[in-house]
Amino acid sequence: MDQKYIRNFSIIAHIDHGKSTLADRVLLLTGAISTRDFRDQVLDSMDLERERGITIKASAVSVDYELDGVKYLLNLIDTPGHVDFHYEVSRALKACEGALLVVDAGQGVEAQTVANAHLAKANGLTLVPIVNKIDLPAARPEDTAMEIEKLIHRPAEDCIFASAKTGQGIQEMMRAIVEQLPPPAGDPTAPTRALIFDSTYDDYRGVIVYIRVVDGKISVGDKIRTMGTGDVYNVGELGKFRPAATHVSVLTAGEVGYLVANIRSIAAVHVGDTITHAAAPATEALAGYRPPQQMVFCDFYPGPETQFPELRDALSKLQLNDAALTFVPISSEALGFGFRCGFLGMLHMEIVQERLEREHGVDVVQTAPTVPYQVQLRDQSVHEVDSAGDLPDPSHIEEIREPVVRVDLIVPSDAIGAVMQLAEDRRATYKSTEYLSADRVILAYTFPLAEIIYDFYDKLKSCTRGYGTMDYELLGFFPDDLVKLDILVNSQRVDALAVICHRTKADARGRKIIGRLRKEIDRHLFEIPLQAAIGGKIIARESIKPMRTNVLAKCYGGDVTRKRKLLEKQKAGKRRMKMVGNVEIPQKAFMAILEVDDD
Amino acid sequence: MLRGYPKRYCSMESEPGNKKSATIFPRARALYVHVPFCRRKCSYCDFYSLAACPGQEGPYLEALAADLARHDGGLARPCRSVFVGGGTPTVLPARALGGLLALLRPYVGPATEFTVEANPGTITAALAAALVEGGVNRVSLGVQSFAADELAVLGRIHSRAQARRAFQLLRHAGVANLSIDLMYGTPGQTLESWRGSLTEATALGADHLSCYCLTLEPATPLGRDCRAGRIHEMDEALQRDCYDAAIDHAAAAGLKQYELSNFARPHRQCVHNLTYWHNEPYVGVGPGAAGYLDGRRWTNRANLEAWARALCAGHAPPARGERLTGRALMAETVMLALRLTRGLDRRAFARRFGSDVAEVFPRSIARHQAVGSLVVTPGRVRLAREYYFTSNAVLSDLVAEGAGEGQGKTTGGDTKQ
Repeated sequence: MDQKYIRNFSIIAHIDHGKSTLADRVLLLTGAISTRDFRDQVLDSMDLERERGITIKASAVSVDYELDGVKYLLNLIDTPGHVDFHYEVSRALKACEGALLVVDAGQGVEAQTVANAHLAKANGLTLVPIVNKIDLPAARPEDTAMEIEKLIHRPAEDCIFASAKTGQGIQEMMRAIVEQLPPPAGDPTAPTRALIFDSTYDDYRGVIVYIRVVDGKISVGDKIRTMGTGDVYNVGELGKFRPAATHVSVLTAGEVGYLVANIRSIAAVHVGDTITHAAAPATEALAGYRPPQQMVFCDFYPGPETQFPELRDALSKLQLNDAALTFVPISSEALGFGFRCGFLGMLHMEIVQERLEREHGVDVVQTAPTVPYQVQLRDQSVHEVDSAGDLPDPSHIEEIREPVVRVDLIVPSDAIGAVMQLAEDRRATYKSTEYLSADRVILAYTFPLAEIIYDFYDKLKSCTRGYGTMDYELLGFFPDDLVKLDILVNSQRVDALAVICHRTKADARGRKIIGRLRKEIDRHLFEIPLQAAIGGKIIARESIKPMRTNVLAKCYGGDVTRKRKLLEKQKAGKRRMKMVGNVEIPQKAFMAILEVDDD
Repeated sequence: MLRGYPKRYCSMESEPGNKKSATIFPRARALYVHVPFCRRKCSYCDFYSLAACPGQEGPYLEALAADLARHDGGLARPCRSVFVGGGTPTVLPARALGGLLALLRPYVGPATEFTVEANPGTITAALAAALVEGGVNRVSLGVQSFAADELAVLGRIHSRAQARRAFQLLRHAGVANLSIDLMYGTPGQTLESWRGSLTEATALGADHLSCYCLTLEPATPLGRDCRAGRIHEMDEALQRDCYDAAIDHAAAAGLKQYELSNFARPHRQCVHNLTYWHNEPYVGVGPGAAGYLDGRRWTNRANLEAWARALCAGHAPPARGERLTGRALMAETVMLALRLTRGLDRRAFARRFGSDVAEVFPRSIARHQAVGSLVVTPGRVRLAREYYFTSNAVLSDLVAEGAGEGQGKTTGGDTKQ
């Protein structure tokens, strides 16, 4: 197809600003789906995503659209909607020439809108600003348009006022897509280069790779090479999603589609990599490729109802369609055999845990999440450590470096004080303030990633009455005075409870962790001492008194079943327990150690 | 399922207790009869009972006769124990009570322990005489407390004086084996008032003492009062002190503890309750009654009308049931036996199930032996004395370890037996 009739675009929006409904509108209007088929969020295929109102995996849909008697091919490329998938978003945008910047007229510009708008501009995309949900009673379309003007430096009048729900403004939007967005550039005769911007796994066909052909063309039967990983495959199938998969024999420069090449492992395909011909390769790959980077780690151990092999199989199956998930077997003295798992971020971790339980029926004990650290030893060697338990002997350590991120916070201006206090408590460094409007402001900070991975977002929400939003991006690894804090339960060091923290915070942290443990661990038949220690030095101590009463003294006549049921019930509440020595530690306790700010 | 027993039991076990005819499921030698009538419902009680109203006894007895007849093949004659509980059996009018006792007579032999539960507020000289006349040789007197304010909180219909008087009337009528039920944990109760009740009970000469901790069941007036904050559950430490006081006091009075909540003079342990704790079969008749026979447990639906209607129409009464097998059955056996101070007889367990208990529940037993809560000897496994009052921590571990396989199969909410 002639490139000038192609438009490749994404929709950039904050969660719940109406991206999915808008996408459905496009499909409906172009006849890709019928009204009868019309249902919410066609592009999100997993139940979990639908429940959480977010999009985890990108996908691309091709639709035909006729304007003023000319037929166009529109490729709508969906982007993941969460901060954890920053890099994936950037690759999806890289496959486009333009994007619809969608902002909820009731909510205004949010941090994610800002981050993704900047990302789009950095990638040279043309933006079509859209103020959505103007049918809502609380809508402030003009104010929202002013905020957009501040954000992308384009007159507010350029905004299209629309409602994906009612269909208002959609025709105007379609016209803008065709008229304002540039057709793809790229040289159809140059050596082939195609960008991988997503992949999914299909049980029958293996990995399905989403590609945007930038130069040249790819045909069925071609021998191709991935330039980043260096693997060679034969193209078995090419196609487009309209939205049902439709085979094509060739994809040429400017086109978007999928490729099947008998690839059995999704881990072999990296988002951002470039595909070229094996025989006549391009000399230079497309810019910006980097392997997936896990920024949050935690351990999964099989819970009481699950065996180690079941957990291993479940993780392997999940990894089939989640290239960003990593796991390696580990063993812990306290918790036995399990897996150290790496995730793009906290949300990614939560999703994996839920999918393990819901889709695979396994029951896991999860340790507190941690970030990766770089440890430089006195011999100048550098080691990556993703668990406090793996920290080398302190006498060998020259310095410990932690990941630091740039964070953009959009908050109401009357909450600036509270947010600044929160940032200060989290070892943040202030960078800048920028007013978006009279009552909304963008605060830029750098934070140690460890300080924001757990409950920072909740805290931000609570000190901004729910209005605060955030986005982050990795800056690099920087040294600080970090120490390993050990926790001892019943005089036994529990490696899964150990944390790496800043020295100035160790005392308070230790006391709070122990306080939490005291609440989470039930009374036992014996007294349980709890201690926090740095090296051999105990810095905090508490104890759990033994239980005094726990008896079925009452007679239930011959109703033995009732008696047993009562005991079973008592035990059922303890399903998510892990035995450490003679102490039952609930799963919650392993997570709770990060919730140090409670009372 | 219980209708029509397999022939082999009936023919092989013609002689009760005949060891040679040992089958997996022997006949029951214990019979429980539930009488669902009360003069007034106590404020803590969630057992099945109805306000006694004249005219109900006739149909009740008729249905009871049918319920007994259904189980006749599964019951030994005579039984080792017959226990009439409730409700308040002694709230039945004299004629009806006489009829009930006559109905049970075929199961009572010279050595049978024949117990009737009685509310002190219902005992008269005539009633005591009628009980003895009917063959009753043991009465379990529901005194609960000798303190007036506690009796009021519990919603009991009797006074302290009535309790003393009832005990003396029964003794005078010739009931040689008298048990008193007492309750601690009552809101407002003190350690002193509890000791007072214990003293009165032993001074009267009780042969057997059951001391139960009040459980505030949600669906009772006391449970509701507690949720509403009108009363408060007794402090755990005080509950524990009351429990310890009961053990000390009973021992000093010559009543030896033989179960977590039960104390007796020599040879006065409750034979009927021992059947439960030894996990041996028993038959339960009456609405709300529980039974255990042929490896199946059942509990009749607690509804007098539904129960009577089914029986009068020649059907089994509605009940929920479950059949336990394998480890779940073993866990239940251990759960029950550990309530006894003697604990579990390991050899008897091995004979019954073919393996040693320490091999069946290795984790729980090793763990609690290490903690000190279980005492393990070659012959027995028992709870250590200091852990009686925290026994659930041990028992729930065992039940959980047993739940791995052979879990009880529930046979529906209200199936026909």
